[in-house]
Amino acid sequence: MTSEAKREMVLLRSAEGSEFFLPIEAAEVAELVRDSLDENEDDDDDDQRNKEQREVDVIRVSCDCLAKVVDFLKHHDEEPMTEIPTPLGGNSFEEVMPQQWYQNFVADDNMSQEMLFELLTAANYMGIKPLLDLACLKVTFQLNGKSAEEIRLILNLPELTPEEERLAREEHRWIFEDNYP
Amino acid sequence: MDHLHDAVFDVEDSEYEPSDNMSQSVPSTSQDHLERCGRWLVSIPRQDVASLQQTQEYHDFIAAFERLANVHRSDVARSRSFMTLEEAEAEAEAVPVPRDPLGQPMAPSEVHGRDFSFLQHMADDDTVLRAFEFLECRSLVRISMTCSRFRELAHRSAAQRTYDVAQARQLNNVMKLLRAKEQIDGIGTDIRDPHVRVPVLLLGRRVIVTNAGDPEYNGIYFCTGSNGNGFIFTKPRFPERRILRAQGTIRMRENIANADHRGRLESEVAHPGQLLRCIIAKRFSNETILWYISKEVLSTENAEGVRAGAVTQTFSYWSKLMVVGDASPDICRYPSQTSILARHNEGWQTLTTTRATRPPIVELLD
Repeated sequence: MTSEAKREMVLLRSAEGSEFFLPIEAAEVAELVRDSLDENEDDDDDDQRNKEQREVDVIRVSCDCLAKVVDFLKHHDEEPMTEIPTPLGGNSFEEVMPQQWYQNFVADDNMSQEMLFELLTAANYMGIKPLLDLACLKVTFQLNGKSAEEIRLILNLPELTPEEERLAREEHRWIFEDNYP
Repeated sequence: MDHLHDAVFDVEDSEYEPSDNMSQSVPSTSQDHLERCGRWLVSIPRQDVASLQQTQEYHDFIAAFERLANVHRSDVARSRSFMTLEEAEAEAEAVPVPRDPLGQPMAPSEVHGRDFSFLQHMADDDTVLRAFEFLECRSLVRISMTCSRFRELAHRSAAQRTYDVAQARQLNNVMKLLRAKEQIDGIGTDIRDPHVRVPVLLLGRRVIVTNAGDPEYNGIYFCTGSNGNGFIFTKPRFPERRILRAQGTIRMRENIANADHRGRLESEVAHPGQLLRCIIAKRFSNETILWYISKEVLSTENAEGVRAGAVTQTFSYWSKLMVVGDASPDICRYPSQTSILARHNEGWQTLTTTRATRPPIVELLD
C-alpha cells in the first residue's frame, strides 16, 4: 500500500467547512473533483498557487456524508469495486456484490436509511459512479419483492389517488393475476 | 409553509383560466393544485407560448416560478437539518412502536424514513432512474403504484431498458404499426407505396426441460425468435455466464466441444455482456428436419477456422417432430413433447458426444 504521505493530496471541504484529505488518484474517481482540479490547472495566472492548493468545495454534501464518501474513495483506490452488471447476476445483495468491504460499507448496521439516501444523492452530485451504483444496488434490494404499500412505507412516499390506483391495477393486471402480492 | 403562498403565482386570481385540459373533478388539495397547474402548463399549445412570451404576466410567472423553486430548496434543506439523528432517535423512543399496515413492528430505519421523504433526498430523476435500473419488472410495477412521480419514472425506466427490443420489433413507432396494419388489411399495397416490416407475435407458451444429464439445459425456455425452419426457444445457460472483457480481451471459462451434426453456426462476434444461451430449434440433418437442443459456447482461442471471441453452438440432444394427429397443429409448432413422443415409444435422444448423459424431458407449461 502506497503511503499517503508520499502521494499528492487533495482537500475536500464539506458544506459545514469540515476538511478531508485524500490522495488525488483516489479523489479523481469523482467527476466533481476531476473537473474542479482541471479548472484550477487551466488558470495560468496562479500556476504555483494552484499546484500547491488542491482544494475542492463540496458545498452540497454534509460533513458526515462526505466522511463516508472519502472512506469509499480511499478504499476504492486500493480495491476497485467490481462493476455491477445489468441484469443483476444474483438474487441477493451479497451475490451481486461479493466484495466484503463494500457489503459492510452499506450494511444496515453501519448505515441508516437516511445516510444511504444522502450518500446516494452525494454520489450523484459528485459523479462517483461506483458509489452511486453501490447505493442504488442497496436500495434496489430493499425494495425488491416488497408490495407497493411496503415500499410506500419504507420510502415515505405520497399515495396515489384512488383513481390513479385503480388505473394502475388495471394496467398491470397481468402481473397481479399470478397472485403476487 | 405560509411563505410558499407568497411566492406562488396565484393561478386562481389570474386572468388566465385553466384550460379544459385540467381535470375539474380532482379534489383541490394543495398538492393536487400544483399538479394541476403543472399539467395545464404542459398542455399549452406551442404556438400560444410564443404570444404568451410577449406578455408581462409571462415574465412575472417565470420570476415567481424561480422564487418558488428557491423557497422549495431552502425549505427542504431547513426541514432536513431541523431534526438531527439524536432527536429522531429520541422521538422514536418516546412513541409507541409503530407498526406497518401488516401489523409488523417497523425497524428503526423505517421509522426514520417516515420523517424524511425519499423524494426530498432523491429529487433528481436521473438518480431515481439509476436505482430503478436494477429493479426487476415485478418490483418496478409495484413501485410504479406508490406515487404518481414514481409511476412516471418507472415507466420511463422500463422504456429505456426495452428501447432496443422495441426498436427492433417496431413497437415504439405507432405510425409504423399503423402502416403494418394497413398492409395486412390490403391498404396501399401498390409497388410505389411505402412499406414496413410486419411485426410478428411469437409463441406464448413456455417450454420446460427437466432431467437432462447436463443440468445447464434444465429450466424454462421462452420463444424468442425464429430461424428458417421455425420458431426457436431459448434460455440463458446461467445468468452469470456472461461474456466479460478483461484487459482488452474477451474471456470465458469454457471449452469447445466437437459436435456430431456439424453444429457450427456462422460465427458471430461475441459482445461484452452478452448472455450465452441454451437453444431449442429445428435443423436439418441431411434431408430430415429434427428438433435439436444446443448451447452457445464462446471460442477462447483461434481453432478450426473459428476466431477467438466467436460464439458457436454445441449440440447435445435431438428428437423427431411431433405428428399432427398426435398433437394439434398449434402444439406442433413447439418442441416435441416427451409425453407425446412416448405414444410411439420415442423421446429425446443423446448425440455421440452426450451419450453418457441422460436425455431431457421436454414439456409445455401453461
